[in-house]
Amino acid sequence: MSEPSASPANAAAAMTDGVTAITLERPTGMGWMVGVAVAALVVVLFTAALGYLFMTGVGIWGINIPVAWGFALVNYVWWIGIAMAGTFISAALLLLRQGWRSGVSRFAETMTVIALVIAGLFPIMHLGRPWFAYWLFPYPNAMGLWPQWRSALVWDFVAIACYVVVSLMFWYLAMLPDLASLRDRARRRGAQVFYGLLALGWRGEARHWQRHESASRLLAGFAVPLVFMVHSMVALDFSEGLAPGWHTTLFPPFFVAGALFSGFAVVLAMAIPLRRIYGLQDHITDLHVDRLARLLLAASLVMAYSYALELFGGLYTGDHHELAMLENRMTGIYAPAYWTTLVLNALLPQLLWSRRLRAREGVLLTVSVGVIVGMWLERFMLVITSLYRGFMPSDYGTFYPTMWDWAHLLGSLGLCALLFLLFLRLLPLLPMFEIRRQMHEEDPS
Amino acid sequence: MTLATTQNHHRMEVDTPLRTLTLADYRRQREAPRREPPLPSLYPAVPRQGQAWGMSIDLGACIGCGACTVACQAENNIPVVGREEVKRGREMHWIRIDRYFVGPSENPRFLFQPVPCMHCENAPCEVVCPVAATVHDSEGLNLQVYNRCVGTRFCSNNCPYKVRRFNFLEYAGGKDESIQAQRNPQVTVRQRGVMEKCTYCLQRINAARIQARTTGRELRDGDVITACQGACPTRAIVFGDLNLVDSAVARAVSSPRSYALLRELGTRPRTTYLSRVSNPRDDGAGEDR
Amino acid sequence: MAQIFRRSADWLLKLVVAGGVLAVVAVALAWRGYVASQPPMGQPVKQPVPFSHKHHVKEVGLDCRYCHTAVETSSYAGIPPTTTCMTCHSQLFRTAPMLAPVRRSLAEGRSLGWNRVHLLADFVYFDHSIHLHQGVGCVTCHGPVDEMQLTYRAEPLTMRWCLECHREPERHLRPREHVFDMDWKPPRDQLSLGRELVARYGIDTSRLADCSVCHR
Repeated sequence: MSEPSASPANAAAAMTDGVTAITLERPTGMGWMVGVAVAALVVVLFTAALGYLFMTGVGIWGINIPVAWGFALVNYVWWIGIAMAGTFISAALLLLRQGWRSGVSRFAETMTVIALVIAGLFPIMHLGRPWFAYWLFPYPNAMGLWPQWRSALVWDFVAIACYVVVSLMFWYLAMLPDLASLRDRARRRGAQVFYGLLALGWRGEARHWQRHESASRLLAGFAVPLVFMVHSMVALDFSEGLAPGWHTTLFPPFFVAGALFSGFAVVLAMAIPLRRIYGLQDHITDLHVDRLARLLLAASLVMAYSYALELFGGLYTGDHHELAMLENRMTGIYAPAYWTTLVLNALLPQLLWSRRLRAREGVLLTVSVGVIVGMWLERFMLVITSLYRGFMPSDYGTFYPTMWDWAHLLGSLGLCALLFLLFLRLLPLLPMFEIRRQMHEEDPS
Repeated sequence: MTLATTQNHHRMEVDTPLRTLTLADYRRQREAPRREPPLPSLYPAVPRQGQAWGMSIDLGACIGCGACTVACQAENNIPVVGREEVKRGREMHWIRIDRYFVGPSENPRFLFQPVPCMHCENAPCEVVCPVAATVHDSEGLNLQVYNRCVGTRFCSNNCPYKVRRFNFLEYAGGKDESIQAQRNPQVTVRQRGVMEKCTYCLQRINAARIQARTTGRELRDGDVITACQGACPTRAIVFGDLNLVDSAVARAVSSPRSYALLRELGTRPRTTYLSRVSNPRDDGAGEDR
Repeated sequence: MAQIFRRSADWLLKLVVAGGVLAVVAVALAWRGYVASQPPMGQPVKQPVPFSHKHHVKEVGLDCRYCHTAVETSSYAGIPPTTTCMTCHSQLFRTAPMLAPVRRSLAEGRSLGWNRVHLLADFVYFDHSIHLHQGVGCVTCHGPVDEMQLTYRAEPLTMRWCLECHREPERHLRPREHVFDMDWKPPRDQLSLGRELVARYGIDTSRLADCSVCHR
């Protein structure tokens, strides 16, 4: 018999009171304010850096010929990957009726939406002429032209657009009953109007619940294949190309696994401090953390397999360009990125086999942050090492990031931090209605 | 102080992009020509009707002077990007001279290879452009439509020859009068954020074709001379219609010395090379220096 | 518990949403208007002298090439120099106030400064001579110039419009001899005439829609 997810000591209403009190009554801590101030400053700098980018051109980055894609694409794939796990946890586990997910699903889904918004910036930023980005959209125009459908980039655009729409709808729909709970418990007029507007008139009728249930399932049904489709399309952005190291059928599943991997790491890295700060140990229990850690371990095994398969592909085919690229990855100028990736993604998570280590928060945090960094380095390695030494030896070049590359990366982190901190302050942290349903299912009395 | 170079690697590594033959080998090949069988492909063969533009570059004639690069730059309004940008790897040479060192480092041979756009029949750049800014025309040219390009740079990533150049910043020089006076009005001046590359001097092809049409005759071999071809002092570059019987380029391509760069990728380039032939003594004397 | 919102909040919200939708539509239309090519189709362009094609072509009987001299040999049709105007106006209407700018232009040796009516983007390389050679009449693209009191753009000149003819030239071609005819009417069986002309003039329709035909 499995351990119940929520402690039976809380009655449903008390639980709702407790969680809504975090949003409505808990005083704004100094930590939060300092965090928001710093994040807001970083966002202002990010906006300035964006302005400079649009005014001057992508040449402010370190990209060149042959390495025409740099940090912008690395960041894009990294953020999209982080976005994936949220949808997986809230949507896939919803369809599989895994009740335990409710502790983490709200902020995982919020992480998805935030990561998506940020990820969507980078493809526009990396364009040479971003003011024509809308040409990737098929609209009737005076030129009589349509997008070029054979290109993975067009379908990437389609996939991201669908994913943004579905994720936003799914996230908002899931929050409606909880926003209504906040509205009903709010004492100040401002809070009542704010949550009242957001709750769209939710009254908790049986009809509402029925529609909510079927709409959630429908959107989850869209979201789950989208998760796989979006990241496969992102992978095809690379594997459609013939560059050594990119042109492999491994990429779509490899990228999907990598995305889930980085996403789980982010959710785990957030779950641990959040439950401490907001006192949510009853809802984000050791079971949740243990399950997330095991998902992380499983994903790391898939990643380890993928790294091995990349090597195998080169050795098995004997293609000399592929072999040269592999050798370059391991011994060339970017070798530190390659080896760090292997250690952080394939080696370090193996610590999670041990139940004792899985229970230690310090170990979990270290491993997750390591995975987050490792996944960025892996994207970096994938993009850069296949480009800097291609087919023609006369074209060998190098990529050195400039301060603007770092500015846009750190700026995106600041934007994420700001949006997440705002979420923590203003929106319901847990899916209270789901927890109530679970509590009822476990203990109908 | 670092030297700004456009090429940072001079060994040929795993492939031999620049092929050389000894005279003995060449004679043997001429007696018993061995044509490599066509590569298998899932794509249908590109039909060659009407004009089929092609170029053949004789590596035996190329002395690496770089006149082709300069002529191309003048003809096509190619910007000069300056020392800092060249150090970053952003030079805008549509045709470049690759230089390879072969042999021992104390006393290597220097070999030169001009590399323009290959105008591949199965161009890998065309498939990946999301807005159809790079397409193939019916005469075999791989076109770059500047006004349609949004600058994703996937085409450059997919070009195995790395012949595509990108305007990372506004290189065009603005409204400076002396630069405006230097420009060729027949060629678009490219804005920042736009990809560009060798066009086989499309403006000259179009002008020659319109001229021939309006005077009621067919295009003849030698009607179109590309800028690089015209500037080459050793006549290493031959350009013309592969479909025209007995055109200079058709004759060059039928030579046993003719080969394509990175043939195993299946790109089927229209720009081909003629291997360099040397006649060294057994002790190595007389080899290229 | 008390209602948070008054009853009026309901339709107020709907009004705000509707207003938002209208705002988006308005912005889109404004943007369309802003990027539309100038001058607008059908609107006569202000010129230094109110030159009337109707008078000069229909009433006086001038051929297009009298003024637009380069049209058969060059990509650019040519705007006449002041001396062309003076071939007649040194004798006729010598003191007409309407023609004062013309006389001043001759005296000062400065061009009149006509304003372009048909302007294509810089990245479009249009060639007049080949179009005329292949049987495209002046009025096909420029409209009924001999009826225009003041000159205006009669066709959109968008890429889509050009492609229409490039994809099916047989719809619009006429025999070479009639290219400058203002009153040539397409016959009832334009398509069969067109196809015959396409064959006779050696027009390769499979390549007419290549990007390289207009863009370099």
